[in-house]
Amino acid sequence: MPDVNKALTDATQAMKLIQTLVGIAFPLGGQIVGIIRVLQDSTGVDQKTREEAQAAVDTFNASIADAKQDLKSKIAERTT
Amino acid sequence: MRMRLKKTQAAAVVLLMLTASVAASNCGGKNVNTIVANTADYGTALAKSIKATGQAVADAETQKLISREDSVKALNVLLRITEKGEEAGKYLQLILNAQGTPASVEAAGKLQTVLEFMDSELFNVLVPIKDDKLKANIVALVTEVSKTIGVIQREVLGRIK
Repeated sequence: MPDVNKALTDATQAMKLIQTLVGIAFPLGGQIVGIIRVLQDSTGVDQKTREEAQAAVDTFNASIADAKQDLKSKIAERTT
Repeated sequence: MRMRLKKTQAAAVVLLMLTASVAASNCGGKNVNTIVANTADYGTALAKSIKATGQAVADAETQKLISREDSVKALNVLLRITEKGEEAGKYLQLILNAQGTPASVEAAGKLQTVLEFMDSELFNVLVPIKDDKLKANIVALVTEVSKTIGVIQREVLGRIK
């Protein structure tokens, strides 16, 4: 004959164990995600690559060249 | 058992947070690529502001608020600033290519000098402008350009290694 009381006790203990593990896993998981984000920010994961920097420099040079050409045209219109 | 686990959990969290804050303080700061990219972005905004200032001068001449001679003077000041902007672009490229070397630090110093010249020259745009209303408009534009130069200087100064 199966011991119903023992089975219920075991099941209750198993449930408590699961509750404890879940209680640990959730807050700890949240903390770890937060810490990983801090580390990503501080170690340069979100920082720009060489290619991005080069593209920004190229855009800057193009904008300066455009402004220079525009000003030269305006001056030429007024002096010729 | 449960109490012991909670204490262990709390200790682990505190330890991890301490590790993270130490790592953050050791590894903080932007890399050279980021500084150059941000500086170039501000430079692009600067070039657009210079162009807008030139257009404001040209419009003022059309509205007879400024003589042709004076508008040419103001446009020439803007042209000189733009030519210095071209130099700034060359130094930015040098900083990007030579990062981590003494050449990069030298280029950053030269960029700083170019920016100082641009800022000091900027307000000369106002000299030929006599009309008060127009002057106020140009002052607003020039001040915006000057602010952008200030931001670039802060971005570059002492950060290039």
